[in-house]
Amino acid sequence: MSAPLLDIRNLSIGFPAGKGEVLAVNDVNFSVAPRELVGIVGESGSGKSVTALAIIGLLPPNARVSGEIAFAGRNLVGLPQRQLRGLRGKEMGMIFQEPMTSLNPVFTVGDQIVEAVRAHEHMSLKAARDRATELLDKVGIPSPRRRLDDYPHQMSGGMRQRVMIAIALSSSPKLLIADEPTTALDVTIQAQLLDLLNGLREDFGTAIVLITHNMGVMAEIADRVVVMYCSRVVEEAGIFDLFDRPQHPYTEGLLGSTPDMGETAHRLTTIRGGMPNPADLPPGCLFAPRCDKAIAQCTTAQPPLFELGDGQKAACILAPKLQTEGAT
Amino acid sequence: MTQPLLAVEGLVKHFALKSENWFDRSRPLVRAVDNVSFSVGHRETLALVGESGCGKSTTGRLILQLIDPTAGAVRFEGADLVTMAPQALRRARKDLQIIFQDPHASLNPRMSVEDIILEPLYAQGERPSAAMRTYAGDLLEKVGLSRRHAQRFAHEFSGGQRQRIGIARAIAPKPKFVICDEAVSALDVSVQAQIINLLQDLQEELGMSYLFIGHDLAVVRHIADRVAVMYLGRIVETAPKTTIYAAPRHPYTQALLASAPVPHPRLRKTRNRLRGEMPSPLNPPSGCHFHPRCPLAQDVCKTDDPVLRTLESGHEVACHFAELTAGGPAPRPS
Repeated sequence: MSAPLLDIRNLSIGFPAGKGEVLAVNDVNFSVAPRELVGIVGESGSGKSVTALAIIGLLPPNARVSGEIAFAGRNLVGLPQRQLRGLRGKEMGMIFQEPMTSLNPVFTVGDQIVEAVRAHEHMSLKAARDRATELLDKVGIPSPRRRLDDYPHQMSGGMRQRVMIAIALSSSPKLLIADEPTTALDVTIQAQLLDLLNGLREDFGTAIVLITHNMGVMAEIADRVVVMYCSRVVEEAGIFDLFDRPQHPYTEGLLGSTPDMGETAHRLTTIRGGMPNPADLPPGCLFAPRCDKAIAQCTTAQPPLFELGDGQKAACILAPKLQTEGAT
Repeated sequence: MTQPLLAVEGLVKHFALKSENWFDRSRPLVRAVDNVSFSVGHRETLALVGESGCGKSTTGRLILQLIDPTAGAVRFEGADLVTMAPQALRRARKDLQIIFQDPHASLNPRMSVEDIILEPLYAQGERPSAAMRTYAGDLLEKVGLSRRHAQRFAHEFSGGQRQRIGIARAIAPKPKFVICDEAVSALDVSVQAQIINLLQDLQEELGMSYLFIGHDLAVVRHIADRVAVMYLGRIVETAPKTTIYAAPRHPYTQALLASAPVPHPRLRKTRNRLRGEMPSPLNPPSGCHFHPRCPLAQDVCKTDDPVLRTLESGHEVACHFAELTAGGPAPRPS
């Protein structure tokens, strides 16, 4: 296997809360190879967006980060802002969920793309505008030259998200981090954007970390998926293994509660209860209070992420693969 | 046939906007809902689906008379709500309730949960009493909360719990008809599944009819009996659930289904994506509103509005070429 482009080791991120600290991300490990599309799936509060912000170096100053985020062999944790700025936008780009709030309403989209282009490359205004036109064309905006002079409010949500992608692509980054990029959009537009993201990977070899709560989006384009629950990784698997042989009960629950377009409309299985309060976590496995399979042992110690073969890992002492194959 | 519980006939809503040109006094009209008709039977769930701006939520509000229709009738058990006297309408509203999308914005932050739930009954002339409080507790338990929650405030609950409170409020007056306006769209998947199951259980127990307004075709598939698809203010196709998912006939319905995420990575395929975006309802395309994005469009589609016509019993389509669309989306030359 080729060297990973992004390698996250023992990443923990804490925020001060009251007298103590709440861990938003707790001992997270995963890696992304060049050209790979890795999905991070989880519900609100699972720590998936905080992980994304840590990769791109946009955490608020009060966050305490430990562990390692190696990007192209270089650890980003503790890197001075000046050096991070050189990477951000140039080597990695990011797109956010809400394309309206991520664009500046008082500048035209052309101005904003030109700004991004010229931030990393010395270029005349004319050349930068040509490059901006090219980028808008690449992300599928019709009559791009004319749309350069539009303000964000003159565009639809799908168009604005395309502009965000154009900005993120302005310096041909090696890694694109997309945080719920299609959640606010209609399905037909979502489908168009997922095709676009897939195309980027094929045409430019961009690796993508896609953060979503939607298993359907994962089924549509991910190569590999990291499932997060309550600040921890509970499972990691190739996309087919994840859907065919989920090893963690939480993954199974997520798949069961996702209404799908399959042949039979069965009653949805649910995960009972809700997420625990991050300031008052249960002992042992964090999922145990909601888990139908939990045994006494589950509440005594937090299970490690077991290696189960074929790159699949799960943090569950009852993982079926663990029983049959006796993996370590 | 027996009379449907609710019959919407030729419903129209135009919103007048301010003119962009200061000297121009004409006010452009948004045709948000453009001649919409459908009916909902007893104990039936009709889903109204479409993308943002297609007029589905406006239709819901028009039914409840939360906004006044420009034209058309809304017959509930045979009586037209549009022309009804205000007092009679107030009484009728006991039977017509709504659950909103945003559980954070739709509950009054200054009222206790108990008062929120009982407010529709107070509006019908009930007085606070011990019996009412007991009833509020019963409702809380019915929606999966505890009676101990009655004196708390909305901010003390999670999104899913708030949506349960919204449901308790809607079912408090024992309505016959409930509009669920994107009622599960803002929730996390595991919570969404809980709420979908709750809505189904309550329907079975209380015998209500639902108008389920949504954009997620997979969710709709789980809850609806019949589906009506809207595009730019008009209904383009109506059919029983099994028909619409197995054999959609309007090219827009077909495109919408093709855009929904696959249930399993093995089913990935390159599919016919819908080109472009929905045009502005301020200036909808002539003829069939869908023609600029339609793979089948011919000259007649640019000039003539297709009427909603019956293909087979219960399956209505507004397309000039509905006979050609059987067997899935027409392949588009690439």
